[in-house]
Formats: sequence, C-alpha cells, structure tokens
Amino acid sequence: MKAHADLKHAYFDMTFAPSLELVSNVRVFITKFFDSVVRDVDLVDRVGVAVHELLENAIRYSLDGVTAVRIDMVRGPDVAVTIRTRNLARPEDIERVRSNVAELTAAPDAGAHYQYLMQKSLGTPAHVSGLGLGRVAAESEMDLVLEVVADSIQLTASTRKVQAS
Amino acid sequence: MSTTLPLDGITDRDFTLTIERSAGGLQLGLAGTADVRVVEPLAAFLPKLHELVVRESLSRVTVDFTALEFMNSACFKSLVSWIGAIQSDAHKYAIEFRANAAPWQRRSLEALRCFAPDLITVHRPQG
Repeated sequence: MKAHADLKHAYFDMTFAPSLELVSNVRVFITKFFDSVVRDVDLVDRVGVAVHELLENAIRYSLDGVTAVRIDMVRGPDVAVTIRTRNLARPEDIERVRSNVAELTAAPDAGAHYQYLMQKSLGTPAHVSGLGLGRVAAESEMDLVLEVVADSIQLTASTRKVQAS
Repeated sequence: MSTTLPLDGITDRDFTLTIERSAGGLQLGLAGTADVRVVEPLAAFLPKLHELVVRESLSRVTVDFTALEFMNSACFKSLVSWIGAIQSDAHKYAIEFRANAAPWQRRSLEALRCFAPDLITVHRPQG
C-alpha cells in the first residue's frame, strides 16, 4: 500500500486479495485520508460512495481474488479525483461491465439513467444489484471509462467539474 | 391490530434495524453500516414488512436513517424493491425517511423520492 499527500496531489494505491466484507473498512480509511487533504465534505463523501461501489464490483468479479485500487486527488483550479480499480475477470463478466459502462456513457442524463436502472432492478434477485455503477455516475457525479487488455479490466471513475473549496 | 410485532429486526456486527409501532404505522430505525453483510437479511426483511403493513392496513412506515453511516447499492436496491411492491399493491402506504446531514443520504434519498414521489417524503436536518 502506498499513500502520499501534498498540497497539489494526494494519492492512495493498494493491491489486496480481497474480501467483500473489508470494503467498508477501506472506504472509511480512504475518506479519512482524503478528508485530511481536501477538507471538502461533499467531495469526500462522493469519493467514498464511488470507492465502495467500484471495489465491491471489482471484488465480486475478480477472477483470482486480487483487486488493485488507486485514487488520485489533484488540486488545481478545480479538485479532480480519479479512482481506478483493476482486476482479472471472466469474459462474460467483462462483457457485462462493458455493456453497463456503454449504457452509462451513452445516457445523456446520469440521474435519469439511474432512475431507469432502479426500475429495471425490480424483480431481479436480491444479490444482483445492478445499481452500483449507475450510483457512481449519478450520485458521485463521476464519469466512467473501461479499459480491457486480455482478461485484465480497469475501470476508471473521474469527477466531473468540481470547484475547489 | 395486535400490539406485539410478529416481525423481528436485524442485528449484525456493524448494523442494526429496529422495528416498533408508531402512530398509524411502524417505525424502522437503521444504524451502522448496511453493506454486503446486510444484503440478504434486509432483502428478506422488507417483503415481510410489506406483508405486515398490508395485513394490518397501516398507513405509514417511518424509516429513520439518522444513525445510518452508509448503505451500499445492493441494500439500496432492497429499498427500491420494497417501493416497487407498494406500487404494485392495492394497499398503498406512505414512507417517511428521516435523514442525517451526510451528503450521500441527501443524494440517495432524493433518488428514491424521485422514483416514487407519491409515496415517499424525506425529512432532512435544518441548515
């Protein structure tokens, strides 16, 4: 695990063989870490939600149980946050994420798309949320980009325009 | 209407859900962290809650989030499913959420209110 912070750039970088039960602990640590750097309750809260959802997503579908997460927070005229998760995944899971991200990217309104996902989730099994990435886009106000190399999948969430506090 | 409740709450290491009667309905109190450990118990609890409210023709369920630190999307989905069940049922009842000042609660509960504006009200702390 690496963590570094200065006035312009703070980052957190960790690779772990995960347990879904540990995600809340990681979220709490990361939010405290960035809260001490940026002192923006709303932004840090949005990052916490996104980290939680992206990590649960990555861990649930990790092929070998290993997941990497890196979060960068860069202070300029705006505060820009980027969260990256990386894991190995099965082809069918890669296609599912690819499809979900493509839908999100094509949606002109993240909030309206989130409502669509909520409607779509009705009647699906309890263990299938289908809302995590939509929540990142709508509630955390982050854009998602998927990169796939062979069976390695990297999901990047970046804040839309955020004013520095 | 019976005075004792035929439905137990949920107790997990980092999460509790309590249920009690209130004027005209029921009150739920959620506290702690609703994450992957709580998904199944919450998904099992809410349909039973709905059955109880319908059976007793109650008009309101208050859901107190003020001690809730976090809820993941899988648990949130259980709330969506519960609301979907109310929308599909002949017996409609109101859900009142009481939120704390955490930004995620404002965003998540606003999304839920937009999903069912006729059923849901959200009370937030002043200021």
